[in-house]
Amino acid sequence: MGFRRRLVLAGLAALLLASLVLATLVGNIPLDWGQAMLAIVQSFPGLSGVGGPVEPLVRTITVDIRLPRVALALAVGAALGIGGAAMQGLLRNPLADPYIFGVSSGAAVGSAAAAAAGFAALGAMSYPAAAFVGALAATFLVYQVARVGGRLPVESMLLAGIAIGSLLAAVASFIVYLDARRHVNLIFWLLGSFHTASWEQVAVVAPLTLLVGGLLLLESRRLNALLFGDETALSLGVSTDRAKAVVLFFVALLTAGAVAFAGIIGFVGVIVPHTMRLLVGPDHRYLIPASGLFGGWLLVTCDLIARSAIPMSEMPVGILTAFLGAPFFVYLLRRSRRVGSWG
Amino acid sequence: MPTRRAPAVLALLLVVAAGPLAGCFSPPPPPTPDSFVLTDGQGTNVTLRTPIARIISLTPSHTEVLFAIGAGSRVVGGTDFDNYPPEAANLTHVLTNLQVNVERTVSLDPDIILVSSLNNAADITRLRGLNLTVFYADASLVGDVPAMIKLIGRAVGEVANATRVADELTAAIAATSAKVETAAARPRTFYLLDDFGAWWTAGNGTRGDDLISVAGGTNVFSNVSGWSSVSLEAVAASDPEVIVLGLYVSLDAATMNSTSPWSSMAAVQNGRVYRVPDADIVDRPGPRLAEGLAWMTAAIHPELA
Repeated sequence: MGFRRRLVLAGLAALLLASLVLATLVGNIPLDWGQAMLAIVQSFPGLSGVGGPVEPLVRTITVDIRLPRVALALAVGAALGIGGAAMQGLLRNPLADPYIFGVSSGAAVGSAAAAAAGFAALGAMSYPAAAFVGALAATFLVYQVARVGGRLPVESMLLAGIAIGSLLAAVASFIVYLDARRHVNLIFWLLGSFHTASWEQVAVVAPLTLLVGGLLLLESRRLNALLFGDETALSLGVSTDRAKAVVLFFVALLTAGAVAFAGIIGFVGVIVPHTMRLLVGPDHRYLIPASGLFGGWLLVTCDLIARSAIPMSEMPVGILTAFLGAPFFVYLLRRSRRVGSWG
Repeated sequence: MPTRRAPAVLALLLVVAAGPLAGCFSPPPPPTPDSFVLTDGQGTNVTLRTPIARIISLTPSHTEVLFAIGAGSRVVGGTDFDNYPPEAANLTHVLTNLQVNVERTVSLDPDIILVSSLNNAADITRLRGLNLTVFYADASLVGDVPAMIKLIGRAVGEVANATRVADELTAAIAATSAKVETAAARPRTFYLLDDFGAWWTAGNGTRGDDLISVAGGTNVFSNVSGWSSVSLEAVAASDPEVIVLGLYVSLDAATMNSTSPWSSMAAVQNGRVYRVPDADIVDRPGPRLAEGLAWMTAAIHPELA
């Protein structure tokens, strides 16, 4: 079984690598693939003159526009995949996604408030920073509300998440309503998009995803123990409340980073861990890396379609993830009898 | 259980009963000596009773037109977007946060309610259903604005003033056209309306696209239709010579100078990035469009100033 699961991980990594190359070569403006590859090769330090001249426009489009965008989609997809896997394990609920604790509405409140207050101290990073803070604050609020006498029951976490999420969504809508002139577009942002992707954004999200994803991987055994329920986990020597708090904090960090730069991208956090559970089983030591790889592949591919399908224009990637993801998910559900098997 | 249902059943009965009753009032009154029929901008024949003493404007540009043609003192209601002329800001707000307050509209007892494409069709239908006189006027292209001003003038009984204001605008447009005809080239222009959520620009058929064209530029996205989001790759490939930024765009010239792909575009390298000083003079189809056109022409053809 271990060998098969490692083979699946290797296959996913190969699939991801292929999608990265394809996503850099294909886009809204058709380019000569030889020139595009040459531009990428020459962007590495010390290789600037290799293989002959490259048209400036090809270099701009591949190196300056596509590469950071592909890297950001990869990092955000991996973050949502890993976050979803951890959240479903934490809550023992197949419907859980990384946004379930109000992270998205918290981020919306943060960026709407920053926009309304004219906060621009951090330049292009102002709104993302505010969104990040809002997302973390929302999770902290849920954590505080969900604690019952020092314990952290799953049911109370779910209910607190829904309540705080709705409350913050209303607050965000109210800020937008108060200043309709400027913030009508926030609604669009809520659909998720990578249109402003830059290396500065990648420099924040990619290390965050790698670091926190790695830390969550280290929590795998505790997450596995949680699957058996609080009592059994306790009898296995796992302090469930501490484990829950730690996982909650890590998922909040991952999701806040993703939502701050890419808006809300639905469905990835739900279908990716599900699909991977069918392939590698419920063991988080395999489920977490598999969800990271597959989440990265899914968003890179969806974004590739979102920015290439319509000439001159592009659509928000969030529309596409649900549009392609939902039928795929239904297909998997109907094909497999193992869905819902957790043990 | 039956007692609980009673209010709902009663409400339903009331609605059913009110249907035919409302129908009794719906046909427009036949023309009389003190009324006339005018076809509005959507082809609806609207019966207007004279004198028009109480006007509501549900579109800020209509408010500007009304004040410019001397009907400002008769305007009794406006929107929370009304800011020009300054006294228009004191109007009673009938439309706030993009929502029409129907009760306030009815209570102001208007003789005419002026609407445009900015207002949603459901609101217009609802107001007409209340037997209010709703008159639609709009202008999708720069050259259509003078005719729209004249139409509003006829509707509210300010024909002479409206003709004068419209003719001034027509003359300003003609003068600009004559001036830019002498220019050596029509610079490729990218109009970035907003960068929140996507890169928004003015495509074919929009007033923004037309404004660039009348001002002697070539809109790099005249091949996309309507107000549209465009890909950054397509912007880079179009290599604009002039970039016009909407008032609320968060990007600025300094950031563009230091960030790729903007820094490799001709417009940025030659310092030809301009921010609209006042969104209303370029966005609103009213008398101040002449100012917007003059600004746009100076941005695209500084050598003609």
